Amino acid sequence: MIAFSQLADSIALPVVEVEAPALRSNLTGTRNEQWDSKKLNALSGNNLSELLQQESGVFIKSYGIGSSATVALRGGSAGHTAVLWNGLPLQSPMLGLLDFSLMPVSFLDKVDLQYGGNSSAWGSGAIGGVIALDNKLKEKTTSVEINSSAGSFGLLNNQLKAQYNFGKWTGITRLFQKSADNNFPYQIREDLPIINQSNAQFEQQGILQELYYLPTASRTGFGKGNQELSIRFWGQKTDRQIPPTSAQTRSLASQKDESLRGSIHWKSIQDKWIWNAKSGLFRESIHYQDTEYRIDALSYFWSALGEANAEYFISENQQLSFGVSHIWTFADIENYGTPPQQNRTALFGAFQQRLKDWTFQLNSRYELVDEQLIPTAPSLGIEKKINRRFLLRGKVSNNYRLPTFNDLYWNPGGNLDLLPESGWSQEIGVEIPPNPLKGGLAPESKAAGKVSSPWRSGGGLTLFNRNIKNWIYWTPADGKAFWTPRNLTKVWSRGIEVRVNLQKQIGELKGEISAGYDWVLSTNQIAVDRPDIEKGEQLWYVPKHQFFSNLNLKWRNIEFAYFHNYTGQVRSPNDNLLEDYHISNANLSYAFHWKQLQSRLFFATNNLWNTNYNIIEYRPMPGKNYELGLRLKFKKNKS
Amino acid sequence: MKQTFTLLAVAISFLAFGQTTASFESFNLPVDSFLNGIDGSGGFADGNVFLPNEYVADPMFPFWSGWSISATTDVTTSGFSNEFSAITGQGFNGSSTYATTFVLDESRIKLEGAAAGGTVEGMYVTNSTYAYLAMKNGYFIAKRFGGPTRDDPDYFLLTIKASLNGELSADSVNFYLADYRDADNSNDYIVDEWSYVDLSSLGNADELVFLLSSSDVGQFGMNTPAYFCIDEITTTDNGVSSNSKVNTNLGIKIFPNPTSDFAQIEWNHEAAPAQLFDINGKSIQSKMLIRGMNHLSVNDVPAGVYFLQVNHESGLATRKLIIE
Repeated sequence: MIAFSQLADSIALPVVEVEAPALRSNLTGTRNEQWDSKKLNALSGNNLSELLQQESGVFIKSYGIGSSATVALRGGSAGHTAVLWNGLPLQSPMLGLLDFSLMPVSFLDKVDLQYGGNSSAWGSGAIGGVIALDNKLKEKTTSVEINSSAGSFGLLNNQLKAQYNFGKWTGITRLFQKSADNNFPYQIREDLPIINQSNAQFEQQGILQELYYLPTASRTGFGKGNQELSIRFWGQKTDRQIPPTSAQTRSLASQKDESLRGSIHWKSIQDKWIWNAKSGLFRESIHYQDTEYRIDALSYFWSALGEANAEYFISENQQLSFGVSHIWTFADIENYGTPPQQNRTALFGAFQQRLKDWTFQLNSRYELVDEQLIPTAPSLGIEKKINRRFLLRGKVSNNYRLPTFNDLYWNPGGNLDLLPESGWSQEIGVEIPPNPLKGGLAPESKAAGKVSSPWRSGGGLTLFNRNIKNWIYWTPADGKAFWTPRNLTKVWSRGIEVRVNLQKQIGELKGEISAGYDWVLSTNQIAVDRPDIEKGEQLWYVPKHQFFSNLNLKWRNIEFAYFHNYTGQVRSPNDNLLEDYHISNANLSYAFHWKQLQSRLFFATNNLWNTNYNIIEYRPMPGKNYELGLRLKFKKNKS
Repeated sequence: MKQTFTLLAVAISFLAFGQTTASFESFNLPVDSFLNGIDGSGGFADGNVFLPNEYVADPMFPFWSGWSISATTDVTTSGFSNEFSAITGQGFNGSSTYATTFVLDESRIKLEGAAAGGTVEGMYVTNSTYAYLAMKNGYFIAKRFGGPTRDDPDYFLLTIKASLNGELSADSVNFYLADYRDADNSNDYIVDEWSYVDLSSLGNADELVFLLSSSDVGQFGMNTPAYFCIDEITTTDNGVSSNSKVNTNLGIKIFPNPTSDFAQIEWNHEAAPAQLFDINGKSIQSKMLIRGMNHLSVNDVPAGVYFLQVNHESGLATRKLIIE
C-alpha cells in the first residue's frame, strides 16, 4: 500500500506504523492512500474536502467555498462513502452522509482513503470507499503550534495545538477558527457585468481535546505489553450563510451546524492479542433558516456507539480478528412524525492467511437493524508479490447502504418498505512502489548532502467493477403532491485508476511529481420515468474523466508546490452539461528555525489561472485568490 | 348562484346564446382568506362552472390539488407558504376573489347547467405570486428565467383544451404566463396582470383541461411551481332553457376548417336543420343536413368566425367554422 504523497522528508514521508495495519481495516487486495500528520500539518488550514481533492484527485461535489461538500468515490453517490473517526462512523443517520467542509484538517493526525467496497468491515455506506480519520499520539513531547493565515475575500484562519504531559497522561488541545466574507466576484460571461457573491459569509469554531493515558508505555514507543486509554471530546460550530445560485436573484438563507462528539478508546497489546474497546456519544444539529421563504427547520440526532474487537495472531502466517458493535441513533425534525430510533448490532470477523508470496483475507459481517437481518456482507482480498517491484492485488466484496432516516421517516413520503442498496464489487490492480525502497530520498540521504539520486518511479493501475441494485431515488408519489423514495434502479459503475510517481534529487534540489487519471463510467441500468433517466445514462455529477498532478520542489529552505486538476464534463439533474475545467493551485513557502522554534511562512495562490468554472450547476466558484500565512511550532527538548 | 353579464364578454361573443360569468365573488371571502377544500366539499361551484378540488387530510402533510378560491393579497412573499395569492393581489378589475390552481398533472373545470356542452367564451388569467417570484428570482431548484446570462429562452406555458364526453379536443389555446424566448431580452415578460384568454375557438365542451409546461425542467419534472390564477370565466348558455336537453356528441365534423370557399359537413344521424351564425349571432345561412357528407358553400361569406348550429331532437350541437 503506497501513500503517493510527498516530497521526501520536507513535506512528509509515509509513517512507519509501529504495528501492522489492523486486520479490522480490511485493506488486503484493495487500493488505499494515506496522509500522515506531517502532510496534514502542511495543509492544516484546509478542510477535508480540499485535502482530498488536492491530494487524491477524487471528485468533490462542492457547492462553493464554505458550502457543503461531499465526495463521490468510484462513481458512487455522496452516501456511498463511509467516514470513520477513530473507527466510529460519523455519517448523519438522517442524510446518510457527512459534510466534508466541516472537517478541519488540523484536527486530524492521519487520513486513510480506502477505495472500493468495505461493508464487510464497516457496514452501511462503505460502497464507494471508506475514509478513516484518526487521532494519534505520536510521541510524548511538550509543544505548542500556532498557524495563522489571511486571504482574499476576508479569509481568516487560525489553529492552535498544544501538547502537554502529566506523568503517564498526555493532553492535546486543539482549537481552530476560520471565517470569510467570501464575497468573491464572478462573471457569467465576458459581456456580462461582474457580480459579487452575496450572502456567503461563514464562520467556524471548534475544539478537540484529547487525553491519553499510557500506564505501561516505555519511552521508545507503544508496543507489546502496552495499554492505551484515550478520551476525546470534539465540539464544533459553523455559522454559514447560504449564497444564491446564479439563477437566483438573492438568498436570505443561513445554516448553523453544531456537533458534539465524545469518545473513549482502550487498547491493549498482548503477546498474541490486540484488544480494542471503544464507545462514543455524538450529537449533531442543523438549523436551517430562510426568512424569505419563512423556513425555520431544526434537525438533530444523537448516536451512541460501542465496539469491541480483538485481533489474534495464530501464527506468523495466520491472523484472526473478530468483534461486535452496536449503534443506537435517535433523530428529530418537524418532518418526522414520531422521532425515530434505530438499533444496529453487528458481528464481524476476518481471517488472514499468508502463503509464501500470497496473502488471502476473508471478511464477513452480519448486521441486525432493529428486527431486520441484513444479508451477510462478505469479502475476499488477495495479494501476490511478483517480485520486489510488483504487487498484484484483487478483491471481491458484497456491500450495502441502509436507507437513511429521511428515506424512511420523512413526512410526507417516507417509505418504510425500502430495501438497502446492495451489490457486488470487484477490483484488480497492480502496485509498483517507488524504487529503490530504501535509500535515495529517505532521511538518511540528507547526510549525503549534495548527492544526486537516480530517478525513482512508482505507480499503480486498478480496474474496478460494481453493480448496485435497489438504488434509491425520490420520485413523485402517484397522484400525490409530494415525493417518496423507492428502490428504483440498478447502477453499474466501472473504471480505471492510474497513478504515477516520480522522484529525483539533483544536488540540493529535490523534486517529486505524482499524477493520477481516473476513468469512471457509472450508469443507470434501468430506465426511470421520474426522475427522467434513460438506461445507460451516466449519473449526475459523475465525471468520466479526471486528472490531477502534484509537483513538489524543494531547495534548501524553500519549497514550491503546484497542483493541477482536470475535471471532465458532467451532467446536471436539469440535463444540462457542465463544461470541463482545469484548475491549479500554487504554494511557495520558506522555513526557518531558531533554537526550539520552527517556523514556516507560506504564500498560496488558488485557482492560479483564474478559471471560470462550476462544479455544481449555477454555483459560481471564486477566481484567482491568495492566502498568506505563518506557522510557528515550539517544541520542548525531550527531558 | 350569482350570474354576471359583462359588457365586454357580450361584445365579443356569440349573441345567439346567453352567457354566464363565474367571478367567485359569491363566496364572500374576507380579505386574505382562502378556501382550499379542507371541508371535503370536493370543489367549488360558481356561475355555470364547477372547479374540482382534491384535499388529502394527511395528519402530517395535508395537501390539496386542483382548485382553491382565494382572496389573498400577498404579492411579496416568495415560496410555497404563499401558494394561494395571485401576483395582482386581487381579482380581475379590482374584485377581491379569484381562483388559484395547483396543477398536479392537469387541472380541470367542469361546465354545468346551461353551459354544459357549449362553448366557453374566455377567462382572465394571471400568475400566482409563488410562480411569478420563482421565475423572477429563482426558488430552490427553480431557475430565475433567463438563467444566469438572462439569455435563456425560457417560457411558462398554459395550454387549455376542451373535453367533450371524455374526448379531448385536438385544438388548444396556448397562453404564455412568461415568455423569455425573444432574442431581445427587453421583450421578455412574466405576466403580472389579469389577461383575457379567448377560448371560443375550442368549440363545445363539458370540461376545460389546463396543462402547464416550462422550459425549466429537470429529471424530476417541471421546476417552475405549477400554479396559476383565473377569474371571470364566461360560458355560453346554449340559447335554450336550462332544462333543454343538450347533446353535442353528435359526431359532426367540419373540414377543411379554416376554409375559404366550401366546407364538408359529416353528419351521421337522420336529417336535421342547421344554421350558420356569425359572431354577432346573425343567421347567415340555413341548410338541411342529411346523413353522410353535406357540402356547404361559403364563397360569398365574408372572412370571420362563424358557428354552425344543428338542431337535433336530442339537443343542440354547435361547431365553430373559420372562414378566411
